[in-house]
Amino acid sequence: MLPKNKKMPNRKIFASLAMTVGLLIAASCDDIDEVDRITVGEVQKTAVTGEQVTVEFGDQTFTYTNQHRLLIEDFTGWRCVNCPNMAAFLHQNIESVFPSVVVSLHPAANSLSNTDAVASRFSLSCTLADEIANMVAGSTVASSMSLPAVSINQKPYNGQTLLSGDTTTVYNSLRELAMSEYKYYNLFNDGRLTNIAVNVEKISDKQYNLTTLVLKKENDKIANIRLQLWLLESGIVAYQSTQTGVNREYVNNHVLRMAINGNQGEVIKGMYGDFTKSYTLSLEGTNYVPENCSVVAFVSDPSTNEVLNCIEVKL
Amino acid sequence: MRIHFTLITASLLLGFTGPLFAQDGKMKLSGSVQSDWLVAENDEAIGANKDDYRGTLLGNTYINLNFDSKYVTAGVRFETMEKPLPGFENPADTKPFYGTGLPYFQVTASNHKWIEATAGTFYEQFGSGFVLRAYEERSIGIDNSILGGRIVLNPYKGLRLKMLGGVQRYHFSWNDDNPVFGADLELNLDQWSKALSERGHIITLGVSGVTRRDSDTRRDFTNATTEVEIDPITGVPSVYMKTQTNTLLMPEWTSAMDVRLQWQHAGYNILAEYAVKSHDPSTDNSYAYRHGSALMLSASYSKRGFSAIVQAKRSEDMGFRSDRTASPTVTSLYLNHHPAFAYQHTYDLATIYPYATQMDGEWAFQGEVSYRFKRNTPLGGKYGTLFRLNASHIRGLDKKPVRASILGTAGTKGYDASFFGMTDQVYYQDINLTMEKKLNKQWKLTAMYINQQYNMSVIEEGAKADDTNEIVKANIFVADASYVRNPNFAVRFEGQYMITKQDEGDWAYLMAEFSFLKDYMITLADEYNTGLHGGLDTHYYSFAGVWTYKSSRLQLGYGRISEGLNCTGGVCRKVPAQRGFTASWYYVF
Repeated sequence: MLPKNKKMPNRKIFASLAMTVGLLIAASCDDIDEVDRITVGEVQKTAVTGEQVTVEFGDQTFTYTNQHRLLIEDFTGWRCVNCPNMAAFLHQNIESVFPSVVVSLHPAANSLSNTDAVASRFSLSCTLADEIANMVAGSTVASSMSLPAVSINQKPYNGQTLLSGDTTTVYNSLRELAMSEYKYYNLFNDGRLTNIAVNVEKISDKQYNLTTLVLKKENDKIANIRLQLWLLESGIVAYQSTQTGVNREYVNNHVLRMAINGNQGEVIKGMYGDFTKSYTLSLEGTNYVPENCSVVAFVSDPSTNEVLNCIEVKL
Repeated sequence: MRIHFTLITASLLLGFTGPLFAQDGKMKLSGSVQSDWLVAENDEAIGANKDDYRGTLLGNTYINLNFDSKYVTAGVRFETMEKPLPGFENPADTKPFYGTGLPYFQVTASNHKWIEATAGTFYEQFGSGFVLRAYEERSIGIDNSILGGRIVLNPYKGLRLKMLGGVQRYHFSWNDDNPVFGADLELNLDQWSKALSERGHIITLGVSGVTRRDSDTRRDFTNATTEVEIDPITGVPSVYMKTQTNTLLMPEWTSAMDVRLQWQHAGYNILAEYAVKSHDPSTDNSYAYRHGSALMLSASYSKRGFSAIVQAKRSEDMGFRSDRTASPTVTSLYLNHHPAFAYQHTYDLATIYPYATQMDGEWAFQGEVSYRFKRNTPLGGKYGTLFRLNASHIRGLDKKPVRASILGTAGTKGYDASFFGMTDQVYYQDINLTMEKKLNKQWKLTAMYINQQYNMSVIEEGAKADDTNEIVKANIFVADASYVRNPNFAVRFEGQYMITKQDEGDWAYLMAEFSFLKDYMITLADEYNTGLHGGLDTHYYSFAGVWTYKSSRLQLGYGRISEGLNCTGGVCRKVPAQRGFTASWYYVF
């Protein structure tokens, strides 16, 4: 407490001024009328999934579509008269409706699909397709399986991973499975989506560097994932038996040619966070047409083989 | 930052060179050191985990230096708490509690006639603190000092005017964007009236105003909903997110005013104080636009051997902070203070359930009667006996929500509340009776009974009072006996027991304190959660040795501390369970 005042130059003026300032401060309200308080913004509608995403990772830039794509493995054969029906069904009812990647597999062990006898004209079959069929079905089925046979995400439907035949039941089952998988991954923006992107760098006429980025789902920081890369070729003209005869100029697309990182792919364990893997692709010694080729990369759960996501990129 | 540097430099230069020019040539240097340390240990039984702290060795240290001369005084405080003691850091803080620096530095010049000026950091309180209280309370980690300037004028006899402006301290930085200005006018009417002063009446009229600028005047609220749309042709569903960002426009300036009138005569003291605050949408009130208010009435009477006080307070939306967007749990940013209308207990078990002032609104009542029976009477005995009865009762306001805006409560006035409306459920109640009796020249006895009701959900979690909240009802008994044989030996015993069927059940507490050779003291204590009525059967034992030498006090200890609230004046800090060696040094020079 200050001692009592005795003298103060111009004190009345000073005190009055000070008190005025104080009262002004005290009275300085800044209320806003109710009607002016809220500015209502416009409603914006955006797709939860399906937007283009560009991400920097390491020294590379990756672009991918943020959504889940179905991996459709269509086991087919050039002598299989019902197979073109399945291909048409898949194209019209699955591939055109759901984000998906279709792979045509011609098992070498199956008499309906082996092309060794016509190798001088065209070549479609490969033993890799046998291996995949056996892995998907969980037994040695490649030689005896009925074609067409289709697997979606290598996921069982009513206990069957391979759905065989050209029947309404099979088609309905495929539709239901595709819808179920699409809904599971794409209708909920809750971090359950694993994503994948591939950069292709041409280093010579038939040499390519492939860099794959895997963006794991949320809360799944430690990798325990299988990564597989396949080479596909489209625009292959070959004979095809149909229900009305042989079509000698049937165009085969998405034909599985080879595995890029091993027939079983690569199981990655203990990798923290998102990661990239690089591979070299060589088409030396093959007659594959690079312009018609593409790379399919997909990630799956090693314990169940269930495909988590996939992507197809042109060479 | 540049302003801070200039103020620091000016304060230090003035502070250190000012005394050199003191007219009377007297210069005084004084100061103090307080350093508290804990070597933390893990203790699974009580839930103490040193991984929750910044390290094993934790400490808070404060060093004050003060210079005094006739016309200039200055002060500076060095603080270091790189690894603070448990419970001082709040996860909701946007600026860290830990650090090292000189957060306090000031110089005050006065001509001892009509002006006093302060530059640097300073503490201040207007009236009861309803609109401004900048203070330091280390035990709960509060230092909301203001960095800036203050002028105190005494232009007329019985009139004092304070004006201040600055920015509030926030741990080791300042809330630069949100300056605060205030003025306080206090009139001592009795100094203007000979009739009043001659009859011993003291009448004080005070008016205060505080205004705060908040740079956060726009706040976006984004509302997002997901909708599934079915393609009419393919039947394929797609999910879309609809987002809408609405913006809340908030006042840049918020002001609060306080008027108070106090009359004192003989043993009587009556105080009436009323404060009001302009619209202050913030996290505290869910961005509601309403005028805050507080009314306090206090009447007391005291004479030798007898005192009585009754108080009532109604407050409503009076949380006034220097950052409206800060989490409500950040107590460091309050500009004002509302004292708890509840007895501030010192006995251990009675502090387990303390009251924290609810700044969003409350009705609080408190009364106390104290009487000392005279010596040589049946109840007074040979040395007299003191009885003190204290009761406090606090409820919330009966709030009726108003129609929500597109942003919910934000943008509306939040609720309607009648002046006398109260919640059905009690927030807090404390009734305690104390008896202090000196038995003979050596023995003194204190006995206390406490009945508490504690709405844990409201006080600890800020929940609304409703029937789902469980009220902790506790009965506590305390006995405190001290024996002083001579200045070289004294002993004190405390025995306490709490009975409650809620929360952690019954507690017991035993303490023995031995003082010997004037300068030494040893304390042994055990706070025991007995396991009765749902407790955990856990001992919180502790040992401490104290050595006092001249103006130094050194304390070494070891033991457990139970998890709980540490409250001072209605402001609380959550203290986690801890165990370890403790050291504390306090030195004044």
